[in-house]
Amino acid sequence: MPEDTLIKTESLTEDEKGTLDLLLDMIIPASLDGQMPSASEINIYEVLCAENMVPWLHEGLKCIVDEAQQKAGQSVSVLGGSLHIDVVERVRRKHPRYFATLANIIIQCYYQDPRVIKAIGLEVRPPFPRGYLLEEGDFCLLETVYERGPIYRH
Amino acid sequence: MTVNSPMELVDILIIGAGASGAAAAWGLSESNVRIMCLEQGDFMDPLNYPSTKLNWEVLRRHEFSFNPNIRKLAADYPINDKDSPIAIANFNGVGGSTILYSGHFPRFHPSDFKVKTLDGVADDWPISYTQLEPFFKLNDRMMGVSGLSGDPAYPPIDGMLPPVPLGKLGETIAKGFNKLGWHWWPAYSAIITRNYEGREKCINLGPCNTGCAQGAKSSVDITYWPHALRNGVILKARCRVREITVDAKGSATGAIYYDQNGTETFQRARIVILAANGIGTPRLLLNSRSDHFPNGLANRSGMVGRNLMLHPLGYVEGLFHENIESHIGPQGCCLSSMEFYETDASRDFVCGYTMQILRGAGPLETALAGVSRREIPWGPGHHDAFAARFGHAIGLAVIVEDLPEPDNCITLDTVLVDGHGIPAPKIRYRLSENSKRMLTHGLVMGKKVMTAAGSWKNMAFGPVRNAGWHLMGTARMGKDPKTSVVNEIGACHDVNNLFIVDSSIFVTSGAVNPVSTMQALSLYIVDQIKKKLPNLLQ
Repeated sequence: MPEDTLIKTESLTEDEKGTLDLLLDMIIPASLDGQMPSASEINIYEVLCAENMVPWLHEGLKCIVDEAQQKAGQSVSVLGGSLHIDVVERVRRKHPRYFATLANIIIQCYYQDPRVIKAIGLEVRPPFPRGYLLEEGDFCLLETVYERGPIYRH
Repeated sequence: MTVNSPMELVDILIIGAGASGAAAAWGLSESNVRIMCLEQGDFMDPLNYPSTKLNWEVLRRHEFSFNPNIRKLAADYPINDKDSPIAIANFNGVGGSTILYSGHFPRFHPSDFKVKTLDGVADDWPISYTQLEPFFKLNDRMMGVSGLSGDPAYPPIDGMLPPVPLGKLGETIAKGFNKLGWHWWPAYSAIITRNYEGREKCINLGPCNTGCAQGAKSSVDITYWPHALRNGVILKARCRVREITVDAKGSATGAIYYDQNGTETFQRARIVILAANGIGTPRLLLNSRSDHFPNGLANRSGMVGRNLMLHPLGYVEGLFHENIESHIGPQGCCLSSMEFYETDASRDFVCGYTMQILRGAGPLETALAGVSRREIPWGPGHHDAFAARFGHAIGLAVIVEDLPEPDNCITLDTVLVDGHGIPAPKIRYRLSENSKRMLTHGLVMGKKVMTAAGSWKNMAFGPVRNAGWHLMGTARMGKDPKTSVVNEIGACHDVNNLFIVDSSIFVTSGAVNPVSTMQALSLYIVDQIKKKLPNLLQ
């Protein structure tokens, strides 16, 4: 990892890192059957670091940390039951665009991850050069269309 | 300071190496004349296309986006489309927008050339389907087109390669159309389904509209250009034209452009052919002001930039319980329906629309669309909702015929400029009442066919913002110099040696993808030019 990225990585506090994992798992949790990993298991954090987005991330996480402190007097990552969800939802309602962007980034990372691609039943490879097999389909279905005769205007 | 081009004088200068410019270059290349083409974008390397990479779905949202305002490559120019509900799409490179088009390749219908006569709206074209027919056929042969003869929605079309497979998705929706007794037909596709002219057949990479690494999609960088270059046409990439120049008599003398090093260069030419698309062409004309043409070149009619037509697009999606493998296959080429193409007096609109069936999205696009529409939630329901959609969705595009409206126009932005300081185009566009009614009808009918095919859930919306691929009408063709920019052979009324061959000269928009018709028109025009070459070159 490049040095400057390391510095940015370290700029998140432990509380913020815990909050980020919680947030990622709230958006995309692991599936009950264990087939699909949760978003916190994917390298999303590293992508955000590489894209120079830690300061932006820090901003949003701080809102959640502050909201938790204000409402419950403790860190959001240790809130029990559904309290942490309530906190995040409150912040989400206050900053809808921020959370829409964050969800967008998380989804982009998640659905390009080899583990996820494999889990949804696809081969982990680019489309080229092998391509895919497409069933021909039944062109006899056209018979009734053809029999109807011309429908265009001259 | 402007320097002269090392090649002092060419007979024909073509501006733009996309669909129409490539056809024109090849069409003229056997005439023993010196031809040069200037293209602001670069040559393409198919091995860099997104489908060669695992993260192809991410790449299509950024450097291979069809929106130049997102892509922001050096070859791109910004487009101010804030005053339009539809954002402009294009691609700048050798091959132009055929690099990113889906390859859906239907022709205009005979009725599209005479809407004034048939429906009493807009204007008739000064040419007919019959006049273009041999050039449609020639263009199909040059490009490599797949489809099936016998379509009741068209006069006979033959000589095509076998159609793109329907797949489970196509078969499913075809049964829906049949249940309703509606027309459908396998897509006319600029995709080769058999090895053709040294190119290898389609292997269903899927994302045709990010560039085809296989070379099976017929983009003009691999169809027309190799032939034109072999015939001696000089193609200069990364050369952006700023203006077309005129002499004291008002005839075109060439063009000033910025070469690969940014040097301002003048290229002399006896004939200039514009092929810069429905946005780029009027932009260049409007930016070419002189004493002869203070309001822009060839604009004595005031029609340059007016009558922009964009094909407002509606989107319908149906979800099916069965896995119909909708993520596999060429995304834009499956089948289409012309059931509502022709005017029907019982409806509350004139003209009509095409229903183009789209194959489903990849996993990322499925997830992003589902989350943004709140159909795929955050949290525990996420995976089930995704699984219900991925591979289970059929898309349907309603392509609405857009009638010409003078107020829908392109002007030059007074603030926004490109990397060379050339003013950006500014779009002003509104949907007409006729288009709105047609769109509403199309969305309802789209849902109806999804239900007939067995969908458990439908959604529909329109106009889709990111769908301004079809750029037409901004330098219209006509016999009257007061109301049109070019005549029936593509020559500007005001400048006898300046021709336009792209879709800016369309009089009306039809309701199908325009590339096939645009290229046939380009071949028709250069055929007319060839007949007049001795006079034009004097």
